[in-house]
Formats: sequence, structure tokens, C-alpha cells
Amino acid sequence: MASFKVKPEHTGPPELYYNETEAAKYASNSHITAIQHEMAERALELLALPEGKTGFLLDIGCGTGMSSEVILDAGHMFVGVDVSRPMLEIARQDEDLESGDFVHQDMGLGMPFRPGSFDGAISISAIQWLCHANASDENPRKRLLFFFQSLYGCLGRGSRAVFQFYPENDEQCDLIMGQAHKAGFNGGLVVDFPEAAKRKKIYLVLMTGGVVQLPQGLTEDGEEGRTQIDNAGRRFVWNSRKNEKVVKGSKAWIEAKRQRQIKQGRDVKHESKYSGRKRKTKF
Amino acid sequence: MKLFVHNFMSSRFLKNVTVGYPLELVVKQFVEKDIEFDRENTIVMLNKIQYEALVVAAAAVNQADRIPAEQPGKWEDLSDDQLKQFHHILMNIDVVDGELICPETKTVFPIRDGIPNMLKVDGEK
Repeated sequence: MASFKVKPEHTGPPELYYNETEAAKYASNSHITAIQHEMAERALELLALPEGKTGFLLDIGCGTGMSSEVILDAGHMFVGVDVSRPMLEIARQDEDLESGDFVHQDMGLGMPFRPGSFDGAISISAIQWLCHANASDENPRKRLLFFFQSLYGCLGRGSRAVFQFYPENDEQCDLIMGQAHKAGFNGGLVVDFPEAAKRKKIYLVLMTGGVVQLPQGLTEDGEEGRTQIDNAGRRFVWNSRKNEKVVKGSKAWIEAKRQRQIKQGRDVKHESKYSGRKRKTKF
Repeated sequence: MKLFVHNFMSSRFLKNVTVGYPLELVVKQFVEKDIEFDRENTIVMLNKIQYEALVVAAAAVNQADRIPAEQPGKWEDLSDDQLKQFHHILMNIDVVDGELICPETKTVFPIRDGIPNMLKVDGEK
């Protein structure tokens, strides 16, 4: 039988999956290290921190601190949060990461920091873990929302949070984006190398404060990329108003129905200021 | 856990907690590290620090006499030697064993092997 690679988040909760052996394996795998490094660098670039200034960043789901290393190399300071204690223990022993620090916390329980603590946040391959319930009293929807709300709280105004993640399907993508938006974030997805199956990387760029143009995703070749037609479905920009349904019986609903019937050529009554109003009980 | 982290931590994520800051710090054991001093980074960090909480944290490791009780004026105007005292408190002191306590609900978060555990484990005190 063909064996499919099972996503680790399907096997169980992260704090159990990343036990001592798995954490040690993860930290010493050079392939994983290289990819994580590359993605962390791109995430840092998408954060668009003011140049030449030291920032104080939050590394969510830092694991053994691969992405934290990138933050330090770029001259910033960090605090890492992860749910797997074995991973954090490895990270703490790393002398390169000495100047940062780590906190053991589950993302879904909220970020334990005071308002305005950080200049930005990055998270590499972590947020998809939140989409799975590991106990009967866990609701992924609620946990995601609570996570984003607490994150919004501890970020400084005008700062960004960049999440690299591997969505399983569009629904999962929509769920994560929807909850982020509900918590007050602006932003959307940036897709790097959308045509390449293996190199394709998805980043969720969230911003506190006003709407800012999303950065462009990377393509294989700048020239070639421009000759292709933009695929609207690939760069998803959130617009919650668009899909809102009008309430049945409301004035807008009556007006829409009237217009529909006019289109069909039916005989309809003209619109007046009374349409959609309730009659008095004693009619 | 280094003392600068304590300055940013809050138990606001708990239910029925409105401020949750600063967390009470109980230090059972700490080590002193020797992390390289960087003037610019120290100033950036100090600009973000809540000074009163830093004084409390310094007192928890019996080193409150290293730093003034009141916040000095502009951080940029301080000399390297003065900043090094702050750097020492912020970065070099690493709490290995201790507790963080929520000021409102009195929930205890243990610090073991230098990693504060903020998970609320039901039934665990």
C-alpha cells in the first residue's frame, strides 16, 4: 500500500508530538534547518521593520529556536513561545540564543504579555496546529480567535505579525484569516512561488492599524511572472462585507426582491417610504 | 527566565483578569550570566521597560541597589557604565527556579530549569 506522509498535526497535540526524541530529531535535521531558516528570513522581510533599528520581536511556536536565530542574526531581540517543553529545553541550551528568552505556553491559551510589548511577531509552521482540537473541550475556532486577540493586544500599534503556515485546504485558510480579521487585524496572504508545488510558501501577513498594501509574493522569475495573468484566487484579500447576506424581511431585502421581479418583467408596486414598515396592530 | 521577560509578562490571558501586571516574582534560585553588552540594544529595551516593575524584579533577586529607585531621565544620556548596571539586571540575571504569581487570581506559574510555564493545568497547584 502506498504510504502517504501524514501531517504531524494530525497525529496528536504538539506537546505530545514534539517529545524529547522528536525534538532532538527536529533540531539536528539539516534539511529542516535550512528550510526553516529561509522561511524565517522571508517572514522577517515581510515584517518590514524600520531599517537600522533594533526591534523586540515575538517568535510564536519557536520550537528549538531556528527562527529565533534568524531574528538575532538580523540584529533584533526576541522572546520565543512554544508549547513543547523538550523543544524549549534544547533552545535554552543553545549558546547562540543566549541573549533571548523562552516562555512555555500554548498559543490557544493566549499570549502572556502586557499591551504594546512587541515591535512585531513571526511564526514559522506553527499556526496550523491550532486548527485541530486535541481535547473535547477545545474549540479550534475559539482558540484561534483568542490567540489572535491576545496577540493583537501585545503588539505595538502599526506593527505586523507574519505567519508562515501550511494550510490543508481553503477552508482552513479562511478559518485562520477570518478569526484574525475578527480580532482586529488587517492583511492577507502572500504566496511565494505559487506555481512551484514544492517551493510554494504561504505567509499570512497581519497588520495592526490602517490598511497597508500587501507586499508582493515572490515568483520564480520576475520577467516571466509578469507575463502571466493574475490568478485572483491565489492572492486572497479579506473582504467580509462582500459576502454579508441581507436579513430577510429588511428594507434592503424587499428592495432587492423588487428589483429582481422588475428584471423578470413582473408587475410590481412602486417603492415608498412605507415599504418594509410594520403595520399597527389595530389595522 | 531573564528579568527583562518578567517586565513584559502579564496574566491578562486568564479569565477574569483585567490588568494582570506586574506578575509577582518569587525567586528560589538564579544564575548570573555574562551576555555581551550592546549600548543600542540596551537603550531600545529600556525604552520599552516599565520601570516600577523592573525595580520590583531587581529587589526579588536582592540587587535593587544596582539601579536607582526612580527612573533616570533620558536613557540616551546615560554613560556606558550606568547602562551596564541596567544591562546586568535585564539580561544577565537568569531565574532558574521560582514562581510567577498572577496579582489578581493568585494563579501560580512555576519556573523550572529557567523556563516559565504559563500553561494552566487544571487541578495543579
